[in-house]
Amino acid sequence: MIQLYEVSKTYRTRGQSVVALAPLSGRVEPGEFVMVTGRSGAGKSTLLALMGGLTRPDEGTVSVMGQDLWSLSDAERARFRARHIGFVFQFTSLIPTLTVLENLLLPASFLPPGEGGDRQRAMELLERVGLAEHIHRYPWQLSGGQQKRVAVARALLNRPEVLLADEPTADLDEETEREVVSLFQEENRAGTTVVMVTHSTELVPLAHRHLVLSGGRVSHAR
Amino acid sequence: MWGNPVLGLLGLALRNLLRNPGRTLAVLVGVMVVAGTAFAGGLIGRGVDHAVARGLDRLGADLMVVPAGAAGELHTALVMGLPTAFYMEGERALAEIRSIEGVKAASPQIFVATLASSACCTGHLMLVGYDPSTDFTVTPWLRRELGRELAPDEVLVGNHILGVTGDPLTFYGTTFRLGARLDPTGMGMDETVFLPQEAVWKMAERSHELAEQPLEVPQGHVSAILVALDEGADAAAVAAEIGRRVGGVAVITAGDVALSVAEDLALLMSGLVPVTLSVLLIALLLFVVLFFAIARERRREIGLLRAMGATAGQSVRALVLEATLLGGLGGLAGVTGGGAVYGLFKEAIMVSYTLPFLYPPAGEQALLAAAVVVLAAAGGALVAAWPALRLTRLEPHEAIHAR
Repeated sequence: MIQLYEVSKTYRTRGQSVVALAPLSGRVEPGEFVMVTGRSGAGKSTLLALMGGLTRPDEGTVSVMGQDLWSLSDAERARFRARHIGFVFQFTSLIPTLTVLENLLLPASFLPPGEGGDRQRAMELLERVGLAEHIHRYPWQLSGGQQKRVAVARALLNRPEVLLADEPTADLDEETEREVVSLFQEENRAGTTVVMVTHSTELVPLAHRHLVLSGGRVSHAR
Repeated sequence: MWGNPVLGLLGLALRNLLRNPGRTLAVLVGVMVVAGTAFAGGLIGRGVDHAVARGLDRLGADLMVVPAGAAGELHTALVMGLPTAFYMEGERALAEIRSIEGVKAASPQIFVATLASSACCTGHLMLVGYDPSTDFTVTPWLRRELGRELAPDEVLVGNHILGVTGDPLTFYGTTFRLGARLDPTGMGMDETVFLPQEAVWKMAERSHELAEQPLEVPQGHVSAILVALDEGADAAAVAAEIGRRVGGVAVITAGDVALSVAEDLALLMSGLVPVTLSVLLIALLLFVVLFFAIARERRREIGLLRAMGATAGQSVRALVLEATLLGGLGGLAGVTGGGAVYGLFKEAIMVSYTLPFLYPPAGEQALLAAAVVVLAAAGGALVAAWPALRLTRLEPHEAIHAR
């Protein structure tokens, strides 16, 4: 499903180079649930960004569903992301000027009509995350947990084959954390490939596979 | 197509404008002042041109001969309608002028400045007595529009003189009836009352009995001689010849009037243009700073949109549209406000700079307003395109994690 081959990434700022990811190869199989842990600065977010085509590797290739992401143009890669990859981030990622429903429907607006999720799909997802009553509310009218659930629902709108989540449960209370993770598990059971970065070691047993990153390298894999 | 199926790009841009209403209002006011000043400036320029063209066309004269030293007063009377009176010997001058090659017609006019006193006159106005047998200024208009000439007790009034047809108007104790009203010209003619010169003589005669202060018009004298030239005649050469043959006169060409108005307009514009440019510069800086700040604020949002599948261009389209809207709305408010403020202070501005003014045709005004709004909107889009372009160069991951 996701194939990394000799992928590396170094950030350069003000003459300084920081190796975020040393050359790394690996695969995530279709339908797998992979958890990635590691200390801050270990390269977890960079790994996820590389898998989603959000940043270009310095070297190596990244393929998702057999498609080399960096052989595509910006527009093609954007379309590919809209169609096949859903993202959930740690921070509040809802657009503050859009209502819950409008936020949810955003990913569909980047695809031709009929290709992305529609209002009915959005309502189904909101039912699943228990927020169907809140469709006309703005993000600031929701709690942090509710916002995160909307963000998860939005990532699933276009029925992506791959779900990439960057510390989606950080800052959440235990109950909301459980709700979010069980959503991921449900999606995974339905066939979606999930890669999730987390600091929470208690969640690790829920995944099929666990990668530990340290200094831009995989230090441990289960 | 970028657009939320529910909201649309325009709706998103509008909502973004409302995110920080104070900031939006400040920029809107800046754009409004620039657009308003530009619109008022354009309106003045076009209005003055329009008035000069219309006024000179109505006057129908290529040259105006007045007593030496009276050229300035004639200009003020022609342009602003300020009442004035001066006289020169008429018969010999007329005969000389008519005999000059290139002169097609010459017609005398007598100017009378009425008094503001209610015991005397309806108001402080300029009366112009014309010779119906030779006149080519108002007589053709009367024949065309009224189908007849004025009755002995009738007057023809400029467009700004109050009253309706049949209303009485009293000058030096003699009461006339308002016979007809001229179309607006934006020049002094709008403030002028025309009547046959015979009526002026009679009014002067009767004023000794009827008016508190009698009207004295020297017999055989005229105030100005209006000259129409043959087609192709050289106005400057004919003017020089008149000056040579008829002593003690000043000859003004229609071109002189237009030139003099242009000089007064340039004086006004020399004050207006630096103000407009300064405000434009400030507004432009404000806009640049604002949209760089907005772009910085929204980096994460732009990164998120790209993660969701927006292309680099799509992700910043709302930002550019937001600036376009802000510019367009500011331009619209400026055109409305500038037009209104100008309308309120028009008289004061025009009198201060001795400028004629006639609102250009509605179509031309609409075109000017549209041009100002479009330029303001395009300016906004261009300014925002700069930070937007910088944003598109960021990788989505970099934009999402930017601080």
